[in-house]
Amino acid sequence: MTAARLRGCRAYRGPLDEIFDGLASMETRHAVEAHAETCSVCAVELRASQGVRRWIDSSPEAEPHAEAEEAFVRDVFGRIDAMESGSPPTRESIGKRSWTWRLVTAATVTAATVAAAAALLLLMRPEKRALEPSSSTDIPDAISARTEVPVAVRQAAVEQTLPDPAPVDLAALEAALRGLTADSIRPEADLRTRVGLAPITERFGFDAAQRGARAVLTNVDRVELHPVAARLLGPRADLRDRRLLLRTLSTTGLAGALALAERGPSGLVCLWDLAASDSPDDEELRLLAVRALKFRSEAGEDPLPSPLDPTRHPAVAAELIAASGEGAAARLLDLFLADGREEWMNAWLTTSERDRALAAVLRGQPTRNQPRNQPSGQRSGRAGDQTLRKLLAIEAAHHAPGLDFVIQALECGERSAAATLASLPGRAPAAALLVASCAGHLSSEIEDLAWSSLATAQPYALLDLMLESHGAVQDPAATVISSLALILEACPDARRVLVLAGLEPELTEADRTRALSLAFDADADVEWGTLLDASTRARLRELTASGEAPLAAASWMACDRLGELPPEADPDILRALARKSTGSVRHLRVTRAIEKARSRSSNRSL
Amino acid sequence: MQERRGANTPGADDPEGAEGALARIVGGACGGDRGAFASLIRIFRPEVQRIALRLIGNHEDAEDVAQETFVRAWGQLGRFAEGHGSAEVAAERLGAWLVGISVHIVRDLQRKKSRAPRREAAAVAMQLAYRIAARRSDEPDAVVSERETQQLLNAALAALPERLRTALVLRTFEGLDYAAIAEITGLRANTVRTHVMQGRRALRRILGPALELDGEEEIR
Repeated sequence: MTAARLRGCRAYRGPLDEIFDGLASMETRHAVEAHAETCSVCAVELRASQGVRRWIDSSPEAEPHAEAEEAFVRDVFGRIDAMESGSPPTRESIGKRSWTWRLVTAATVTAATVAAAAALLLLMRPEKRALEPSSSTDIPDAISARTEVPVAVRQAAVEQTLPDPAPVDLAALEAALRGLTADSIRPEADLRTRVGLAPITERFGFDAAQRGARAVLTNVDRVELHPVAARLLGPRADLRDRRLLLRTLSTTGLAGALALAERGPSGLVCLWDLAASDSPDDEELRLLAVRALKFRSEAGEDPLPSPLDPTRHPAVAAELIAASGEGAAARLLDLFLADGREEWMNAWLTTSERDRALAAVLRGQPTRNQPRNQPSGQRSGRAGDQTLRKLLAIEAAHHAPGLDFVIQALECGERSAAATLASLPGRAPAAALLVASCAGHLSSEIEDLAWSSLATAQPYALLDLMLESHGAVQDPAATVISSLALILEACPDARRVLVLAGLEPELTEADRTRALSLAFDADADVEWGTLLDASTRARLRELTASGEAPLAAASWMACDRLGELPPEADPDILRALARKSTGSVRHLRVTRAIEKARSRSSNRSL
Repeated sequence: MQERRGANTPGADDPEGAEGALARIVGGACGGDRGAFASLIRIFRPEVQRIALRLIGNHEDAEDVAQETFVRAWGQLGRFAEGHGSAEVAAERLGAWLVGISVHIVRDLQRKKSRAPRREAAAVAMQLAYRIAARRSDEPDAVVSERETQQLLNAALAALPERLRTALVLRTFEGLDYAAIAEITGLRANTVRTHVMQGRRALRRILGPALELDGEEEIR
C-alpha cells in the first residue's frame, strides 16, 4: 500500500481550496466532484466551497467610481504639490491623522494609567487597612471584597485560622507509601476510586494522611515518594497551598487536572486561575489546566464554574469556545456578546468545521450530517471513530506540556517544528503526531517530515507507541494504518526495532507477537538482508521452533518473508492463527502462507 | 494582476508592446515626469481602489486610500526604482508594491477606528444570512438580489479580523498567489497560507446559514 493511496481525502484538500478561491481548473473540479460522490466528508466540503464561491461570483465586482478620473489625478497632484512646497495639505493625510490619533491615544492611556496607580495607592494606605475587620475569621471575606483573590487562596486563609491538627507519624506513613505496588498508584486506581490508597487513609485518618502526603511532597529528600504522595493527596492540594497544587499537578498530569475538575466549582476555579496565569514559571501547568478544561468541554461537560466570571479570562474562554460542547459554548458566547469583547468572535469564526466534526466523532456524537436517532451501528465510519477514541486516550495518557504549541506550529506548516517535536522526550510527541495525522490536520509534506524526524530521533519511543496503539490498528481505519505505514516507510530502522522487540524475552508474549506481526505485516519493499543481521535471523528461526503457538506463528511468518523457513516449522500453527485472526487482510495473508507451506511440504514429500 | 488592467493599459492590444510601454512609463515616472506618473495613476487606480474597497467597505474611504497610496508612491518611487535595477523589473513589481502601500494605509486607518464596527458587521451579516436562508426555505426559487449579495459579502468581510480579511481578499477575491501576498503584506508565505485558511473558514461560518440550501441544490 503506498503512502499516496493511504492519504486518501487529504489529496483533495488543495483542490477544494482552489475551488473556494475560484482558481480550480475544469479537470480539478471534475476530479473532486467524482471523489465527493463516494466520500461524504469531502462532499460537504465541496458543497460549502462551491456555495461560497457562487456567492462571491454572483456579487458584482467592487468597482470604484470611475467617472471622476481626471479629478482624481488632479487631487493627487494637488496633494503632492502641497507636500513638496511644505504648505499644509488641502486634504488631511490619512497617515498624519493616524499619528495625531496615536499621540492622543498615548496621552489618554498615560492619564488612565496614572489614575489607576493613584487609585491603587489610595486603596493600600495604612489608615485604609486599619478600617478592615480585625477578627481572624473575617479575613477571607475582607480579602474577597477588596481584591478578588482566587477561591483557593481564600480557603487557604480560612484553613490557617483553624486550630493546629494532631501530629502525623511521618516515618510510618513513608513506610506505608513505600509498600504500595505500582498497580495501586495507577491514576485510574487512586484518583477515581482510591482503592490502592484506601488502607493508608483508613490507618492514618483522612486529614492526617493528607497532611503527611503534603509533608512528603515538600521534602526534597523523598523525591522517590513524590508520585505516590501526590496521588494520595490528589486534587485536594489545591485548596491548601498553591505550591503543592502545582507540584501535585506536575506529578499527576492530565489525570490529576481532570480529577481536580471533577471536584466541582472550587476545582474548576483553580483550573481557570491556573489557565489564566501569565507567569512563565507556570507555563507548563497553564497548558495542562487549559487542556483539562478543553477535555471537559469536549466530553460535553460544563467547564464553567458558577462563581467565576469567564470574561475576566477572555483568552482561556476563547480557547474553550472552540472546544466546547454546544451548551457551554453558547453560554460563553452569550457572556462575551454581553461583555462586548472580541476574543469570542475570533475563536468562533476561525474554528474549523472539520475540527468540530472530529470533536463530535471523538465524543461519540453524531455530526451535523448524521441524524441523532440513527442507530450507532449504521453510522458511517464507526470503526474509525472507535479507533480515534482509542488514539485520543493514548494521546491523553502521554501528553507533554508544550506539545500543543508544537503541533499547532506543524499544522500551520512550520517545518522547523518537526525537529522540535523530535527533540521532545517519551511517547507524547509520537502520540500527538498520530492523532494530528489521523485528524487530517497536517499537510502531507509536513506530516512526512515530522514522522521522518521523529523516527530518526526516537525509534524506541515510536516502537512503544506502535505496540500500545496496535490494538487500535486492528480496526480498519486507513488513517491509522497510513500513519504507521509512514513510520515504517520513513524509518526502516523502526522495523528492525520491532523485530528486536519480538525477540525480547522481557516483553510479554502478546507484545512480542504484535511487534513481529507489525514488522512483517505491511506490504513493504524491505531489504531484509541488510536490515537484519545473521544472528537476529538465526534467533527468529529458533523462535519458530521453540515458541508458543501465536508467537511461533508470527516468527514463522517472519521467516517465510525472509525466505528462511526452517523445514521443521509446523503449518498447523499457522492454521490455528488463521482461525483466531479477525482481520480480513491478515486472514488472507495467513491463508496464502498456509497454502504456500502445504505446496512446499508436498514438494518435499515428492 | 496585469490581466485586470484592461483598457487603461498602454498597448493593451499587443501584450509584448504593453510590457515595454509600461516599462517606459515607469522609467519616466521614476525620473520625475509628472505626465508619466499621471498615466500610472490611470492604469493602477482601479486595481488599488477596488482592493481598498473590499478591505474597507465604503467608496469614500477607498478613494481616500487610493489617493494617499499614489501620494506616498510619488515620494518613494525613486527608491523603489533603484531597488529593482531596471525599469522593466520595476514595472513588473509596481502593481504589488502599490497594493502593498494601500494595504498598509488601510491597516493604519482601521487601527484608529473602534472595534465596534466589526461586531456590528458580524451581526448584520448573520441577520442577512439567516433572513436569506428563511426566505429560501419558504420559497426555494426566491432570487437573492445583487444588492443583498453585495451587502452580505461586505458585512462578512468587515466582520473578519484585519489580517484574515487582507489575506482572503487578495487570494480569494483578487486571485493573487501566496508569494505575492506575502510580499505585499510583509508576512511569510506560510503565515499568509494560514491566514487565508482561517479566512475561508470564517467566511464559510458567516455565510453558513445562507449556504445550507444553496449547497444542497448544487450537488443534487
